[in-house]
Amino acid sequence: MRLPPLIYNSIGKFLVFAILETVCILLIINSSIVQKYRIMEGVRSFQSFFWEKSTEVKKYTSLYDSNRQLEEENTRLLKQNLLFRNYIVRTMGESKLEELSGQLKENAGDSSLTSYSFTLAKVVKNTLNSTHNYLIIDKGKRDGITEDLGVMTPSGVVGIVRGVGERFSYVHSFLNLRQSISAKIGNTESPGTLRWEGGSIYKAYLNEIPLNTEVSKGDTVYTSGNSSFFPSDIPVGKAISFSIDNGAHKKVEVELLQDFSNLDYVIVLRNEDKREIDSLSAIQPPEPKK
Amino acid sequence: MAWLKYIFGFIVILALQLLCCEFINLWPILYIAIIPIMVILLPSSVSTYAIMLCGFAIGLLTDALSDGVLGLNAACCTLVGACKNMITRPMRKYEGLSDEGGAESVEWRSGKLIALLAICYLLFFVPYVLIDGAGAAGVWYLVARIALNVVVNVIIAFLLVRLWIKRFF
Repeated sequence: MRLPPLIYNSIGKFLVFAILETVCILLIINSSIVQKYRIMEGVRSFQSFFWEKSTEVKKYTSLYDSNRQLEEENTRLLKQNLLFRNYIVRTMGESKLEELSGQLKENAGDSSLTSYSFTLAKVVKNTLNSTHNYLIIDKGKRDGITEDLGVMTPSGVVGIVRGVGERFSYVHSFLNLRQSISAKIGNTESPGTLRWEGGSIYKAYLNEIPLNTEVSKGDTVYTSGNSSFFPSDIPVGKAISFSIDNGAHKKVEVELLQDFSNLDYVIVLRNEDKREIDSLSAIQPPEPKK
Repeated sequence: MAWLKYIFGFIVILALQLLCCEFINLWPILYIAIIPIMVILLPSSVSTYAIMLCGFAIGLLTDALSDGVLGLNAACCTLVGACKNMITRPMRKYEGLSDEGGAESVEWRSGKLIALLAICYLLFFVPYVLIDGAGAAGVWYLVARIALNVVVNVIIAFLLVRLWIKRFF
């Protein structure tokens, strides 16, 4: 492609001008030290400007590699972070288990807990808005969790393990209409059935309390220990009021001590005697000979 | 014979310039520059290449014969030569003049001639003062020096053109 004469001419003029000026500048540099110094200073500043810009361009063009390196670094740090977090959670878990089991023993008394072993679990999921609420905890088969184990905190009963996966377990929350536990009120030994009946997550009802049992407002409700899920004498709530149910039993309105909206860690209780108790319970008395 | 006039005129102007460089030291910051007149008054029919080379040669000769910085006048005259046609051609076309002929600019009206001289001397003195001053003082000193040199030299050049060159050419 041929350039238009005007452009061709302009380029030619510019080249001649540039050559003549370069000759002049070389002459000036060679004839005067001051001018040489100043001109070289100008040239150096131009060079440094050019180098700076070229470095910026190089940096910009190498952004892809930098990004890749950063990604790798980020991934490495994430892995490291996860390892540290796991380590901290494990360490925290051990101290937390000690703390929670200490509180539990304090609340229940050592004797009722001798046959129980504890496993600390973190609550992964906790539903509250259903009538059949449940929890998912981060302990499963590989941690020795099996079905029908009690789950609680030092503040009270949480639920019972109903399904076990390899790493997680499904817990029927106490806030489930199908769930009830055996409990007693105050110092009495008459057990009743503590059941959540929907509505507020802070209230439950203790049913089937014999009429002759004295009930006062503020009486503490404890686990009875009649089931093999939970040890006896674990406080679970306080009596608010009571009513007579069908003229046969007292029905006590209980304010739960356990705040289900704030569950972080729970203890899974394994009753070491449960198998023996269950096998004995399965024995049927021989039918009388006629 | 026109070129002989130019050569003679150039020799006279060069001699004047050397005399100025040698004997007229009115003020250290003031430089009486007469040689750009020869570049400015070259006919527009002369190509830019030739004017640039002419400016370079005139400047270099002045530098070589005086005790200034070698190449300084040459650099400035080359710049004036490179821009001369770009400045005078639009002015000539405005007047309806062709590119042919001699140094018609000497016939121009005073205002137009002063404008041409002012632009050319500005082009001459900006690089001259910047290189000669070479960071010796601040910006305002350089601006003042350029302004002073342009004003004084335009007056001298105008008088020179009107009183002598106009008659000579």
